[in-house]
Amino acid sequence: MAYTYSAGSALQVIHNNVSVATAYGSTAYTYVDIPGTSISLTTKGTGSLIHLQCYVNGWGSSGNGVNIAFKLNGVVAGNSSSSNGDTWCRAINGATAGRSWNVGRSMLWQHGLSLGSPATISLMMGTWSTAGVSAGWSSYQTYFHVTATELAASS
Amino acid sequence: MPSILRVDQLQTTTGTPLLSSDANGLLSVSTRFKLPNFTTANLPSSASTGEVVFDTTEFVAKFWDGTKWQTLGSKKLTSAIVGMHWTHWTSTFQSTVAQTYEKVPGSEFTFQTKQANSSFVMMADIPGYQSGSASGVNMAYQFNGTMYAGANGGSGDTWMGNVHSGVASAGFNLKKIWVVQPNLAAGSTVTAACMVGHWSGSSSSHYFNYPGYSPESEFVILEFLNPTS
Repeated sequence: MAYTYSAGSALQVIHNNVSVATAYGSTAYTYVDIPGTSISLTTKGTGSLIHLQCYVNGWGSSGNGVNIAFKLNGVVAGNSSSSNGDTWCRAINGATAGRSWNVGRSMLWQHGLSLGSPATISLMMGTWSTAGVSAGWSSYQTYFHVTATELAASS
Repeated sequence: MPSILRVDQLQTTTGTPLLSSDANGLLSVSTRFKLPNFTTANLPSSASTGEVVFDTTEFVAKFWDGTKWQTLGSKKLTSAIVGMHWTHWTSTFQSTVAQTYEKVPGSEFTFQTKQANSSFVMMADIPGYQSGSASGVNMAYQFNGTMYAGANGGSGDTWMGNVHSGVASAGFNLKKIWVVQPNLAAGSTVTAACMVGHWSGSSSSHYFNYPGYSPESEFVILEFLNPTS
């Protein structure tokens, strides 16, 4: 089936609202999966782009540093685990007391897939050191979100 | 035995013109013309070169190129994003009741839905300031009177957006993304707003858009309806 779109048209919008009352823990200097945040789609255009947006919040009992990454078809995109990585780089690093934090990220995924290809997107969390940093918090309601908007690359 | 019918016009039994031809053999259809319909599975396995049909599975016209059926032209699809609705405000607001979300008056706006059964991605960005040693702020959404992505009370999330706990005199930025699927008709009126709340502190401890410093907040609602094909 042949379709035509104007460049930049939204081919589809896939999202995931996540409502939890759980603390998802972390590992020092390492990006780990945030459970329940996965979305899947089948591409509707060859060479399309996927605009990703997410929101996550949580708690750190001290200034441990936290960052959020997108996991794209099993691969962490644009973020770096390890002690000289970026797991400290988005929020609450350098604080001396407990802190709530929120991270909203936006990214354009140039996936290079052909029409009809499966794509799976999920969120990961990285922390600089582990003590008490979590996405969400046990027994306290909280909300995460991830949205993927596939955009046509050409007319 | 072959026979020939020589006419230059065909009409219905009531006299409505159907077909006509001129001296050069140009055939004109006077009203409407319907291609023979086939599902994709039932397309003839072969046909005369140039023969045209309509594929009722893919909703496109197809022609036989001598070896296979080819799509005639292409199907133009509309964007999955069918509407953008937003507001922008600079007025200040202070939350007054601990662990309870309150509507931000400047964020409230009304719009009409573009399509039936569409969904709405709500996104907002609100800067603010927490004075003294108060503790924690967060935001949620209100869509046609119902609150989304926020929980009041002692096990709620009003502390979890930023500056909890005991952060003295600090600026903050709140943002959140949430999708609602209310199954409304096209042209329905929607009233939406941002809500904010704080965990602890006095009613004068939390400023959303701090007064006198030109802060700006934005609330965007993206309306979408994914194509079914």
